[in-house]
Amino acid sequence: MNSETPAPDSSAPDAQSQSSFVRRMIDSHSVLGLGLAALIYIVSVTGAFTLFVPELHLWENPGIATSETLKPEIAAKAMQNAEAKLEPGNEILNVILYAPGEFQPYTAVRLNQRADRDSELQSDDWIVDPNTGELLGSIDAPYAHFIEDLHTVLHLPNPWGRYLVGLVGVVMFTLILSGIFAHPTIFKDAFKLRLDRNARLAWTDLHNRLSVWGLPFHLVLSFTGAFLGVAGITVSALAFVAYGGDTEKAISVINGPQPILEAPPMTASPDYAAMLRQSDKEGRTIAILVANNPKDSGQTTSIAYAEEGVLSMRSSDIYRNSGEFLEKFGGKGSEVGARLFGAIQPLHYGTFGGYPIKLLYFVLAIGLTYITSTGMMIWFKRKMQQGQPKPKSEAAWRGMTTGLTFALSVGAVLATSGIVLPIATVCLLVWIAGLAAICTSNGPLKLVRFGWLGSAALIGVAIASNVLAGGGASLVVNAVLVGCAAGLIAAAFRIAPEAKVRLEPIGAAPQPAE
Amino acid sequence: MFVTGGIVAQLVSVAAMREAQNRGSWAIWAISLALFAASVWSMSVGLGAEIGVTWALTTISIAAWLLILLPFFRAKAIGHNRVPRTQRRAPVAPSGSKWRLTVKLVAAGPLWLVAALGLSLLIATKPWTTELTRLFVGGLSTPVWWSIGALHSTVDLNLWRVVLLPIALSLLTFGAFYLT
Repeated sequence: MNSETPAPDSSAPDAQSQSSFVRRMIDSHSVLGLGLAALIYIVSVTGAFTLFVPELHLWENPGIATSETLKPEIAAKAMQNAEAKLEPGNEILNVILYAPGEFQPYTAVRLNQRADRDSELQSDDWIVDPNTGELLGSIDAPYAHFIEDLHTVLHLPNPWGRYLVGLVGVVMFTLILSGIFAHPTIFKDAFKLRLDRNARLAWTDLHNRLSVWGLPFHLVLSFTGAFLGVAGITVSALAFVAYGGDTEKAISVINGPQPILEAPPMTASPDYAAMLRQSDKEGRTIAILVANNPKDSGQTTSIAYAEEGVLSMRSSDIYRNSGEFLEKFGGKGSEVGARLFGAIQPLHYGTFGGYPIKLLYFVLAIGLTYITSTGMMIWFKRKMQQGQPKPKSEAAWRGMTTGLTFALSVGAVLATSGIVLPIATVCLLVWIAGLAAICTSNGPLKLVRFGWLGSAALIGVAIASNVLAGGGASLVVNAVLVGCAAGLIAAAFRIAPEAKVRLEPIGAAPQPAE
Repeated sequence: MFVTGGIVAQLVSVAAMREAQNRGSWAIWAISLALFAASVWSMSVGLGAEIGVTWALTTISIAAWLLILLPFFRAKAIGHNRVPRTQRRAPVAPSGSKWRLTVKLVAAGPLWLVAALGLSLLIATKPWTTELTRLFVGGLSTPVWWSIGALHSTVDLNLWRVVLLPIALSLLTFGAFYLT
């Protein structure tokens, strides 16, 4: 949010001090906003598409065997089949079964294994035949991973990328606070949208109206995002101090019952079917089954489910691998802290209200991306009006944003057309090329328009490829992409020509009061 | 039905709020707020309090955007580039010189991260509620403390206060943790 700085009035000390306060808030807003605008933009726009990562998996693999329900016996069979894939000499960490749900109408199973404690984790994913429990082909969704990784770690090494995204969340939260304090007439201006006034004012109004009316979403999103990003630091640091460096002890408090050490090995797989039947009660939708080292009877198997009327998605029944029910953890009737924690993911990814909420989240996330852009536009217009235009910075900004849009569109075509290329590398190269082309162009806006129209065309090609490959189950992704293409075309035809400030002489026809 | 009713109530609520502001009428303001409260109630009845309130806070933004942004979709351009000469002055930013800004950003970043962790540590470990809730609330509050601190660092003109406040708070909170 941004406010037009009121002119100081020396005859009113209160007004002057308020003006100074507001100016400092605007300055803070500008410094932090300008400093991290590019990262905020990238995280926001990829966040909008990360909402559809489960659907994108299906979109990239149109032949997947879909199902809406899963029988306990089939789930058990799939878990056993995944266990059997353990490579000789490796230790098994866990086997995870993802039950079919509204956003992911197929069953998948993951095996996490490693050679020893010091080795890197090896994860393998398979699609499950919903009728037999056999493991079908592995899931290959490089486009979904590219988008998700850009949103969560910015394709930087672990854990630094996640921390940086967490920092972006903290800065976004700070920007919201400074935006509110910088806007003393927040209620009075709630409906002000003066698009026919000078450009800086028009962009400021647009920025403020989108920000103020999206405030609940922006607060929730930045807070949960900041927490998800910096949780690694905070939990480790809290555990280090509060539990004398014992991170596992802190995690055990958070995650419920822990394994019994040196328990006898299992003679067979845990009885998953019985556990699933016991946990499958009215008002619950089973989402995930996690068996920690199923060859150890002292380890635990958790069944996580959504409960009707509860925001928390961390309700789970925990069993000993030997079959004994231990406790229900989180969800209805659990402690406030556990419910708050369980609500973080659903609130961040909009998974608490089916597709209506997911689509609203998408619109709000695109709106947040646009708010970032409008913030930059205010700065460019201000500089231009002050006689210090920043054409190179503006071209760089437009290159970064348009390049990313074009890169994502190229990635969509690669993901659906069957062309075998490393999507992440190609997308990053296209992005850099787009940025360089617009930065060095004599007419950057023409290239931006070309980039948007080109992106819309590529999205059209991707949708057509998906439909021709039998992607009937990807209706939501295709519908969202059609909306994006339409938005890009509309924006391309409305983009303003290269602007030049025209100064009006002092005493020219007065404008209405601002 | 309750959800649809709630969304309709929100649309009317935002429209009424705009009307209240145009006319300066407190009565319409009250009606608008009552409609918003009714929308929250309606969604809570339909979906349960927890999810209903969350739905209401999500849909209100879209309802407002729909009503307010109509001119944006109709406009041929956003603003014009005619500027009165009197508006061409460039004010000096309060953040000041580069080194001053650097100090502020160091305080806003690492210094306030440590201070925020100190505050969270007290919340997480001092016995005011159950261990599980303390740990979660402590962990969840870190980004909030950090953001508030970062805001203070970038806004306060007194550089000494900017640097010393997070340091003092860190000493105080970690000291209180180890001494009590």
